[in-house]
Amino acid sequence: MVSADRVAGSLFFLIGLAAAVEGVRLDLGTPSQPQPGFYPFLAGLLLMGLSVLLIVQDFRGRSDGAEPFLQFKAQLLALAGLVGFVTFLRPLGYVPATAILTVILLRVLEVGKWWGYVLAAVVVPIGTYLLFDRLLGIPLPSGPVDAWLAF
Amino acid sequence: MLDGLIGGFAIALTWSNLLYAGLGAAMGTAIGVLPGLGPSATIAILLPLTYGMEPVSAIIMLAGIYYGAMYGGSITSILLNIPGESATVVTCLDGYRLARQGRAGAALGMSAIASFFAGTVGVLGIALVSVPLARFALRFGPAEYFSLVLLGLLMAVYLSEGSAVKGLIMVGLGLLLGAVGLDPVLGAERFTFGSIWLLDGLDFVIVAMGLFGISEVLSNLEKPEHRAVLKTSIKGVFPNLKDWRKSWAAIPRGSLIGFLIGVLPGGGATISSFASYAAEKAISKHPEEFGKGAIQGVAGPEAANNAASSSSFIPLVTLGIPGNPSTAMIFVALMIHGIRPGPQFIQLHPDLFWGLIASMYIGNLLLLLLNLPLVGLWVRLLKVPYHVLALIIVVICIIGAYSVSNSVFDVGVMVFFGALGYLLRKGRFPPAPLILALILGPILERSLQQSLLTSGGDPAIFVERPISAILLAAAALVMLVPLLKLLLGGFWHYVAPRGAEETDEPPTEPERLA
Repeated sequence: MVSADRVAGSLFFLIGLAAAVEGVRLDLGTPSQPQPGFYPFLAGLLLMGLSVLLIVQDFRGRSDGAEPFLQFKAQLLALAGLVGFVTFLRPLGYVPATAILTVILLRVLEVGKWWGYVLAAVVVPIGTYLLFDRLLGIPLPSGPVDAWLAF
Repeated sequence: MLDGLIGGFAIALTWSNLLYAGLGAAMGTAIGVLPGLGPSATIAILLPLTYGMEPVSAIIMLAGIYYGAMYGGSITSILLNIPGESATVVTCLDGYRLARQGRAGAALGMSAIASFFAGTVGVLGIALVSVPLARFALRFGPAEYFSLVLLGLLMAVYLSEGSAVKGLIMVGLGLLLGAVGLDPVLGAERFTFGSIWLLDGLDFVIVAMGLFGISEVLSNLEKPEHRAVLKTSIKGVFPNLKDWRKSWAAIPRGSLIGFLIGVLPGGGATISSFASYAAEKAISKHPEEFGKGAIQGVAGPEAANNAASSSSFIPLVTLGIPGNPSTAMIFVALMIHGIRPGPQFIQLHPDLFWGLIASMYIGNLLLLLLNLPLVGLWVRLLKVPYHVLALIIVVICIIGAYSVSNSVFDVGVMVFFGALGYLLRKGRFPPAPLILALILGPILERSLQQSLLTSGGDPAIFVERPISAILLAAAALVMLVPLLKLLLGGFWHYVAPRGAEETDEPPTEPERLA
């Protein structure tokens, strides 16, 4: 198996490289007249140097490595739920989108009873909508269902 | 100073501000008590609630949240053996032992009393130190600020647990993330990928909610539910005479250690609690009791971490440099209200400064008054099933992220940083240096550019100005320690914070919840 620190180190190296290149593109200027690219360039170089150091450390067995993944499914599903939520928040509005997210999260957390899902899918979105949007005056994205709820 | 303090109490003791302090302390404890959610996460989650408030009330409530979260973390450590964040790792060592011996009440009570004492010392210390320090800091030019920020970032890495190289990488990443948006000097677009949403840069609060809140939920999804509250009835939260005899000296010692360490840039509650624990163990005539339920091993570190949380406000209000993620969050809250912390903060906003100090004291008092009788309630909160909590955390984070600027894009950014934060946790990359670098990056860049402009591009300006040179020398010293760490390799594992965690044997089958 490839060492996690080597993968992470390589990724951070690439990020640093991209930043340094972008710094050059933005114009470095001179130390007496720094231009917008000056600072990202330095930060990028720093990140590249440190990434090399991490990889070297790892090859020498001096790195603390990563924690193993116990499972992927739950986190990926929850993340997919969140990404879907962000995508559909605007078109659907807060209440329906949150209802769907609630069901997905409860599914991930493996809570039994079907009525629990129904209850949560009704109580959580409508309760938080009433509390935050109506009571505390924090406007939440409104869709068809919310408009109907807004009395 | 006395006038200021009296004026501060006049502000803090108005009904509405008392209410905010109490509300903050209660909410902070309620969220801080949840396993895995430390003060930084708690403040990030609750920060958006304060947007609509008066600045004084907002800061007062946030300070209450901060203290409440610290105390909540101690409860989790003592009863669950799960530190809310690294600052309370030490409390687990003896606190959990005491709880298993049926003395959870005494440990919780001692922790609250020690925290209160330390909070008092901390507040007095801030009142004494801040004004002269701020006057001194007026002499700071860009070169001094550059060196100071550098020192702060290196200290943050040095003081966070785990690999120094990984911590430094997080600093580098944070500095780059801080460069997203329009550059501070000429206003050129950087790393915006053509998106108008990124023009203003990454919002600190949103990044923090992702890194601390969402990623916490994600990593908890991975592990099977393993929370087991000790099934012990908490009878009597007052420590007995023997406990007092053991602890009366540990509390002031811990307070002093905590206060001194907390003032350091990058310094915070974690290292001070370890230092206090080590000191108590070294002084004790019975060092063998430590780790087996020595009450002074709870009292000292709890005093230290509370004193450090107070004194970490000093660099924030005098220099405008937050030293840890929690004070960074308060820094942002001030900025949102259009107040720029720095050497002139106390002069320009005396009501805010003294009101904050007074309310910190009142917050401590409220915590003592609320928490001793309410311990049972907090313990019950620990029994709420995790899926309910996870759901609440996620929904509150979503609403909070959206409310920052009514943008769905921000919610997406938070989810992204939640996923990133989760991966970083898995890779043992500490999030604190990243979040600090994100907020300090723009200050670092501006001071670097201004210094170079005045010196005509000559970097010698950083060593020619004496204060800057001293700060840089300190930074170099801090850099040497990780190098030594690297050279000494294995040896460090025995002294570093993580070593302490490992030596504590895992709890053996604690009684499950009914």
